[in-house]
Amino acid sequence: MNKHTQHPHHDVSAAAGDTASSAIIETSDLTKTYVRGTAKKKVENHALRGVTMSIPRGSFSCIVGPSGHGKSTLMHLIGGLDRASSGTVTIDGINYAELSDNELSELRANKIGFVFQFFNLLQNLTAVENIETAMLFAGKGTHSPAAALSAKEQRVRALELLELVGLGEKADAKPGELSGGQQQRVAIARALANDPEILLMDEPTGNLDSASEAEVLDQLMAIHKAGKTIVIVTHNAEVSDKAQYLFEIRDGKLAQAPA
Amino acid sequence: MNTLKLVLRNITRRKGRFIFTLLGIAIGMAAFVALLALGGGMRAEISRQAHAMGSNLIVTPTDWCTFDQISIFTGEPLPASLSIEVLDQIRDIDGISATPYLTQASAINMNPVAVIGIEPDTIADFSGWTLSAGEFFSSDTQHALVLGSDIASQFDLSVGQEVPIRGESFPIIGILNPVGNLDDLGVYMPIPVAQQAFEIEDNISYIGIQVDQIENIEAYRAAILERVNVAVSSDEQLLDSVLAILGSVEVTLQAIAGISLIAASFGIINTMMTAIYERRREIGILRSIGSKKSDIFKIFVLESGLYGLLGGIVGSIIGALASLFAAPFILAGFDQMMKGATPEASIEPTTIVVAIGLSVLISVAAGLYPAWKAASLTPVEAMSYE
Repeated sequence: MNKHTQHPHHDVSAAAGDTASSAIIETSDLTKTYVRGTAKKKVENHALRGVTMSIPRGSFSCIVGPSGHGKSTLMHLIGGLDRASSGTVTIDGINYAELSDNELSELRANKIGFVFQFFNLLQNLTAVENIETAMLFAGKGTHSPAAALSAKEQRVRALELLELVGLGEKADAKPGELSGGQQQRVAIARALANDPEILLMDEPTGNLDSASEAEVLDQLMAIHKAGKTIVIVTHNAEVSDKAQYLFEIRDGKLAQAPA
Repeated sequence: MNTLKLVLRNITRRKGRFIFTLLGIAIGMAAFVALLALGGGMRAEISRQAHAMGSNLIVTPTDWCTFDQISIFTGEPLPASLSIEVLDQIRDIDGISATPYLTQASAINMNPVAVIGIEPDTIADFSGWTLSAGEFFSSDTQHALVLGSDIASQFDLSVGQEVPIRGESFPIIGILNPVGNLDDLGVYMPIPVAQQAFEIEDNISYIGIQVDQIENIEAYRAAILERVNVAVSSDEQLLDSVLAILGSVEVTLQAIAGISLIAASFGIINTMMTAIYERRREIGILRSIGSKKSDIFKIFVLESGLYGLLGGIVGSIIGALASLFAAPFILAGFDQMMKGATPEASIEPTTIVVAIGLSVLISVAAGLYPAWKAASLTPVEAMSYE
């Protein structure tokens, strides 16, 4: 199971015990096939053809590979944004296939924070409101620190998160009024809203100039140091160079495991 | 942040869409409310006239058609073909009080007025008349007029003045207090005087009847029909026959209102569906940050409902105002037909409630389908939708 992973000496969870518990995300023979076209003339696109991998807890991992070879698909499946065609994804031993749609939503709300290439902020909401919106979905009765917050407490926490990403002064700006780098930092703050264990990012620097890229990268390193597991899909060598674990996806398969 | 706040932000920060969506809903509902109000106005006015008439039963000649019957409400001259003898035969029945009418037409200052022959001894009690000036007919003063309150004020007439009718001059001896129905528009004289002036021999137009026990009205009617060969209608029946004619007008109005409602519905459906299809990506984002399908549902149902509510309210206000301003023009012909009727739109609270309710219902239903479709996609599918 863990043949692809190694444990660098600074792996925060290595002390926790055996190798199995040190993996937070595991996939087993994961496939995703998109079927398009009509019932008569089906076109099958095998985006993933059986990926088995294991991402250590508290790690900074990157998924790399050429465009269109299944990196993003893999991230969507790991994040529970899409359902696998076959194979399994587990987070902390929880098998997605056994979760209902609502349970999967709760998992996304509380355990995972997403950052996308195109920021995906809600354009009608200000920076601080975007972060608060994520707290809205932190299910009641879950362990999320945002679950039982009043509107005031939400605001306080959202402002703290904006401070954390260095945008305290832009709280009332709408996404359209922010630069790409700033928008991405708001997205990172939003991803942290419910204090998830895992941050999943799809080309977080893909739309940024090099100065913004450096800003964002600094943020990510800081977050990683705070103990979060970070998984980044990227083309960017600047980013992948910082990775403790590198997974290369080619033709929907794991071409290179971390070494 | 809570769901309602999120919805309000969404609505208020898209001002252009907000206004046009709202207008789309409001205009449809405005047409609906306005048309119903105009139809309701006619019905309300006729019902008021009929119920104010004071008679439980109307005795008319057997050969009257519906239009003659309606004329009892409208003050048009009526044929005088009922023999006065009928009156005595009817009065023999226990528990009945009856009073005769002879409705003719004349003119004051070139304006048509109804001259009505009445029986001075019975009419005042029967119709609840009281005098505001002068006195009523007595055995000494028969060749005289008593005026309804509206006629007196309309032509600025007072006790002591003379009015020419059919070439004869009649002194005004009394003016009635307002009664609140067609009586206020009548010029009254005793039946024998009217028969003489209009050269009608011993005939009257119709007889109004009040019964002691309204629950036995059918028995009274049977008793009358047994004795004399006449037609007996209840005021309700007369009202029904008037309304039957007006009903065709009203049905037309309602049909137009219905069509405008359907048109409005499709407008609402189209607006809501477009609005939500455009926002699939947003739904995908909300899903990716952990909203459940039911959350998406809640958000869009609330949003659609708010649009429906606001659109319904704005539409009702526009519709009510439009019908109030338009009523005098649209119902002008109606005014001609119903002498003394005040053409007003009648806006029933139920109309408003129904309009707003429908508006909310249609909007929610229209928003539900695309929201459900969007929420049923996986977050990835929704977000990649452009």
